[in-house]
Amino acid sequence: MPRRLLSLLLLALMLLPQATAATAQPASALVEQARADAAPLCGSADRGDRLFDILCDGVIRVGVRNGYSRFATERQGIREGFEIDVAEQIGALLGVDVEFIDVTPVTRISALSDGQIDLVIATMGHNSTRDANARFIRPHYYSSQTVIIGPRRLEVTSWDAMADKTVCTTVGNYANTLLVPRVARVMLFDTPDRLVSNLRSGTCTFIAQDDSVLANAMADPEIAAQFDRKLGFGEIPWGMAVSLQGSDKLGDLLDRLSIDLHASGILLEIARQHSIETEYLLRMETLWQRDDCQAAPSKCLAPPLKAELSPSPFKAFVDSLYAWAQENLSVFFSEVAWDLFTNGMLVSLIAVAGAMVATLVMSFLFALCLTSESRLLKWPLSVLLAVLQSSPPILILVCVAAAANQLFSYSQVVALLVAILSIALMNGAFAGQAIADAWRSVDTAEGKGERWRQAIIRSASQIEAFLTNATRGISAASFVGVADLTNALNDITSFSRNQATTYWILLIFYVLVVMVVVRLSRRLRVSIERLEPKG
Amino acid sequence: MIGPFSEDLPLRIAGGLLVNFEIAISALAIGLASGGLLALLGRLQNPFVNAAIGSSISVLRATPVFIAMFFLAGVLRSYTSELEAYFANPKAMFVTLACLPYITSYAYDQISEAMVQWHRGAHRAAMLLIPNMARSFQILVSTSCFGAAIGVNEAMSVVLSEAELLGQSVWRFVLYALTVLLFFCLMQTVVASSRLLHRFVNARFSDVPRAC
Repeated sequence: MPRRLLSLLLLALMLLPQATAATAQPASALVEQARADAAPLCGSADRGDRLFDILCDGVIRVGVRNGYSRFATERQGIREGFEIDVAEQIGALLGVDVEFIDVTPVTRISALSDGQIDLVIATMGHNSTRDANARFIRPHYYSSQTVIIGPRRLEVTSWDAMADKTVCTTVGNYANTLLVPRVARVMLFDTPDRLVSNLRSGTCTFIAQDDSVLANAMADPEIAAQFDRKLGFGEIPWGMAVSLQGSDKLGDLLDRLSIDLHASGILLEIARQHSIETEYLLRMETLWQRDDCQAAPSKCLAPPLKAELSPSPFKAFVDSLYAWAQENLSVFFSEVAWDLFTNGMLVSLIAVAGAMVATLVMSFLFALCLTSESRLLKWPLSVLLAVLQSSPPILILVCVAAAANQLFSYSQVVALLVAILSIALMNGAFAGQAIADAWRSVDTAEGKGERWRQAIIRSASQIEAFLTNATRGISAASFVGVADLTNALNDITSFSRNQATTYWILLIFYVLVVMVVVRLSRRLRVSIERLEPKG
Repeated sequence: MIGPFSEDLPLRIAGGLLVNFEIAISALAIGLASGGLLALLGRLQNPFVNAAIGSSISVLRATPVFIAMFFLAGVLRSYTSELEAYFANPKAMFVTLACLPYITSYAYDQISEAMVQWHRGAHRAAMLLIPNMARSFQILVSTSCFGAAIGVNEAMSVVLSEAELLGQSVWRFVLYALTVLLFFCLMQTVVASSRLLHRFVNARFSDVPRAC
């Protein structure tokens, strides 16, 4: 039957129930009213609504798919399918031509918002998340559901029978969230075609897939003879959609047209012509013939599919963690901040290691000088010791830095060496004095080497204490300009919004470093004490 | 005034030293109280309390004063105006608080040891708490000079600003040497005072031998 003739017949069919509807305004009247409203606007460039553009231009651009069997296909320039006929029907009702434009699942919504098309009818499921991107026409023009297909000889009448079964399905399918808890396991495939071929080969006993996708396969007599539909679930309403911007009147008119297309049975008739599942359309025909639905359509409209999965408590935890990271760690999101941070951490670790080694060396130098028989060496050292023990660390740092700056030009290396030397001087002086005191306490009858060994063993706890102290003290290196973590985080804070994070990181870093040094120093002390002969 | 130093330098240094002592005395008082409380709790012999005290003390011991000071000054910077309603010098308060991890852990160690000795009847050994705490007071005075890094107007801050005015001249080193001498004298005074006090207290206590 020629398509034009079919359209006219269906149009006539549609007008019959409208005449009996007591409270609803006929769609034809709405179209006439829209034409009257559009007429004065046809000369202007901005007509205010896509509906007026369509009526003035005499053409509606409809986005459709071109390879969805029985719904929308194109072969040698001829378009066929349920959705193609629905689009033609809408064009006929509006009294305009239909221009088909190919869209894909990826481009169908963007084509609407870009203004490339006026309406999309492209196997698009209406879920709550898509409401933010397009204005869906309701009632929905079709609905698919996921069906389980299996051998005819196996009787499956409820989900209980599927509890121990393996079901083949495709990956990334929303309905799998409903399927997985009800079956023993699922076997995953990448395309519906593979599902069907594996069903045929016997690899899969059951397959689960959208009925609209399987419509073509199930129409194959050979498959239909062996397999049938067992269960259906996860119904997804399909919606036509218009752009969210500038399509209010078009959307409202299409809502009314959609009601009439259901009530008149036109959609059901078109579906039957294309041998697709009609269960939903039968329900809709009955529903929209009811006077109460005609009078107050909003009461009878089905909601969009709720696509969001119920969140677990873990999601709330991750969300809060992510929000926390966004809020607090954003200071490190810039390259300059990250470079400062990593460099600062490296310099701090070098400073800590340097301070420990230098303190050890300095303590032995002090001990050697303090136990020397030369008064020229001993007395000045004693004075230096008194000065170092009485002076604030920051004063020693500043004095050494001033002396170094007289001898060398300032650089990062000089600043770092100044800090290490100052801290080593202060702590090495105390540790050296402890070693010297221990040396004096050892019996002079012991050999020189043995006397030193005994002295070191006896002063091990003091050496440990001053190594830890040196680690704590080196954190003040930033005072003389060392680019350590303190300076780096201070710099980062100067250009970041969140200040607390940087200071927390600084505190935690140094506390951890000191704790590690305490442990290392304790090991060193234990190793020294093991040198003591037993008995 | 000697050399090119500012006329009011001695007065400003004296004022700065008062701030240093104020910080050190406040920190010592709070540290003694908190360390003493922890030492008393430690004597309860409750394994949970002891574990909590042990881990807290190891964190306190590992906290560098300079970093704690930077941390407090940074985190509480936005509340400085509100804090000024309660404290005359909020930055000095930051330095006092920064000294607390050190002095609390030190006081906890010393008071715990003194309590053990006292219960053993070794009263004179327990009285070693006095010179030990005097030593920590010396350290607190020295440490309070870190305040210069966050803008507390204490003695080192005065010396450093004066040194800036002196440029690279040799007078700068003279100033540093005088400061070293000043601190040396002050610290020796503290040491001598604590020795006197220790002797005075020691004379009033004697060890009580206890049967093992």
